[in-house]
Amino acid sequence: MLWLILGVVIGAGAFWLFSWTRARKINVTWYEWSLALLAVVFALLAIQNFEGSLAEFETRAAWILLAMFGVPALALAAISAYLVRRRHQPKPVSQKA
Amino acid sequence: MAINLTRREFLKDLGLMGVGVTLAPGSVTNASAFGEWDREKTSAPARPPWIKTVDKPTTEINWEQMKRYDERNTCRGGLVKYIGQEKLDAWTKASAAALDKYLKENKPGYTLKDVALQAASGVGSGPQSFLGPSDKEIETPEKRGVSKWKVTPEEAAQVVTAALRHLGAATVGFVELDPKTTEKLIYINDPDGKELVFSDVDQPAETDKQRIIPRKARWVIVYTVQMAREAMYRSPTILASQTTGLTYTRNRNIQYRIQTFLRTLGYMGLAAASTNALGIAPAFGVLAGLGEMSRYNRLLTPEYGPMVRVFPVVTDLPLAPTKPINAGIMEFCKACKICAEACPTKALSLADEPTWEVQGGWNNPGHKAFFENSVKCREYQRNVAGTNCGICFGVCPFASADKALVHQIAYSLIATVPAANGIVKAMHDLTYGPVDVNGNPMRSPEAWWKMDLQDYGIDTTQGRKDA
Repeated sequence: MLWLILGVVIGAGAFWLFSWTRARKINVTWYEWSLALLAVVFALLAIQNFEGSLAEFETRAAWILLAMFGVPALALAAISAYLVRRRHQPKPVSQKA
Repeated sequence: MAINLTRREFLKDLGLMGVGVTLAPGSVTNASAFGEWDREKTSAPARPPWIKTVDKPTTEINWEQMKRYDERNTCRGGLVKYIGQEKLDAWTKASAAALDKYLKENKPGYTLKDVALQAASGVGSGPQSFLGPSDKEIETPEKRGVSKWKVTPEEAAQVVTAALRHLGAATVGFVELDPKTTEKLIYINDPDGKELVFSDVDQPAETDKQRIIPRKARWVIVYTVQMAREAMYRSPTILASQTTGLTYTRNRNIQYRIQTFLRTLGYMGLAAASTNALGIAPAFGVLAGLGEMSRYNRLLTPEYGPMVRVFPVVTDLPLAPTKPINAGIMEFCKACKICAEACPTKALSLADEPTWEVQGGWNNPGHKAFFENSVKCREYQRNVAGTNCGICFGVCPFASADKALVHQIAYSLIATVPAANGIVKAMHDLTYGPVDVNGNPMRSPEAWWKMDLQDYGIDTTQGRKDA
C-alpha cells in the first residue's frame, strides 16, 4: 500500500511540477530534470531501505541507510532547484555612469 | 495558481500522469509489472542475473587426490578419535553441567521455555531410512497397472524441484554420479558404521553391514531446507540450537515424502539413514549450484546465506544436472573474515586464501578450502555454550533477510565487481555494526518470544519468483 501511495504521490507531483514550470514559463534543461529524477530515485531507495531494514529488525541499519540515500536525494534536489532558480533570477540592472 | 492548458496539452499530461502512476509502484518494488506475462514461458526457477552458472565450481577440487570419506571421521561422531575418551567424558560432563547451571540461573536462551521448545522441535518426524517406505507402503506404477513415469531428464528435474519445494525444501539441484569424480562424495561408511557400496544390482538393499546402491542409480537430488533466521541470531543458546534440530526434524518428513514420491513414480529414492549420512551434502550442494563453499567451510547460498541445511537423495530417475554457480561468494569470503573474527574460540581460518592443507582428520582432503579446527569448535560447544554454537551462521553478511533492497545491491556488486569486496565489507560493518567477539547472542533471546514471526520462523517467499 505504501508503494501505491508513493506511486500516486510521485505521479501527481511530477504532473504538478511539469505543469507549474510550463505555466510559469520556466525553462528547465534536460540535466536539471535528470538531477531531479535522480533525487527521486535516491529518495525512494532511502524509504525502501528504511522500511525494509525495520522489517528485518535492523534499526541501526534503517537509520544509517535512510541517511545514506536520503542525504544525496536532498542534495540532488537542492542542486536541481538552485540551477533552475539561478538561471531565472532577474539580472541586476547595470548602473552606467 | 492558474494554469492555462489547451485541451490537447491537458490530455497529453493526463496520459503522462497515468503512465507515471501505473509504473512508479512497479519501479520501487521487487515485483515485475509484467510478471504475469512471462510466467508461463520460464521453465527453470528464476534466480537473479548476478548468480552466474559456471562449468567448474569456485572451490578447486583435485579428484585424483580425493577419496571416499568415512563419516565417522567427522567430529560429529568421531570426536573421541581426536581427543581421547577421558577428555570426551569430561567435555560431555561439562556440557551437562553448563546447561544445568544456565537453566537454574534462568539465563536468557537457556530457560525452561527454551528447553521445552528444543524438546518439542525434536519430535514428530516421519521415519528416516536409507530405502524409504517399504514395498507394502507404496502403490507402485506396477501395482496400479501402469508403466513407470517416463519424461525427459529436464522435465523430471523440473517436476522433482516443484515437488520438493511443495514438500518443504528451499532450493533444489541435481548432480550426476561419476565413479572418477562425484561418486567419491558418497561416504564409504555411514555414521552407524554401515558400508555404502555401489554394485551392479537391480535393486537397492540394506544388510547388517552394508547399504547397497545400484550403479544404475546415477543421480543425486540435493536440496536445502531453511533454518529460522531470527532464532539463529540468538546463537549460542538452546533457543538458537533448537532451529537446527527443527530443520532436521522437518527434513525427515521431506525426505520420507520425496522417497514416497519417487517410489510412486516407479523409481528408487535412497537417502540418509541418519543425520549427516549418505554423502557430503555441502559438496553436492556446491556441484549442483545451490551455493559456494565459504570461510566457515560450509555451503553458503545466495538466497539464504548460511541459513540452510543440505540433504542428498540418490535415485535412478534420470535428471538433468544443474551447474555450479559463481556469485562471488568465495571471493567475498576472502575479504570478509567476519565469521572467523566472531568465532569465540578462533576455530575458523583467518587466512587470506583457501588451502589444500587440512587441519585434521575431520577434513576431507582433495579440495581447496578454508579448513576449520573442528575440535576447537566442539570444545567451545561442550564446555562453554553447552549446546550447538552457530555464531558463524548468524554474523554472516549473507544471512540477512531480503526486505531491504541494499542487500541485492551488495550481492550484485559482490558478484560482478570483486575489487569492491573490501568496500562492501566496510559498508556492512558501518551499517550493521561491529560483531561481538565474546560469544554473546547478536539479539536478545527474550525478545524472540515476543516477536510475530512466520510459520517455522522461515520466509518461504524469499528468493521465489512466483511467491
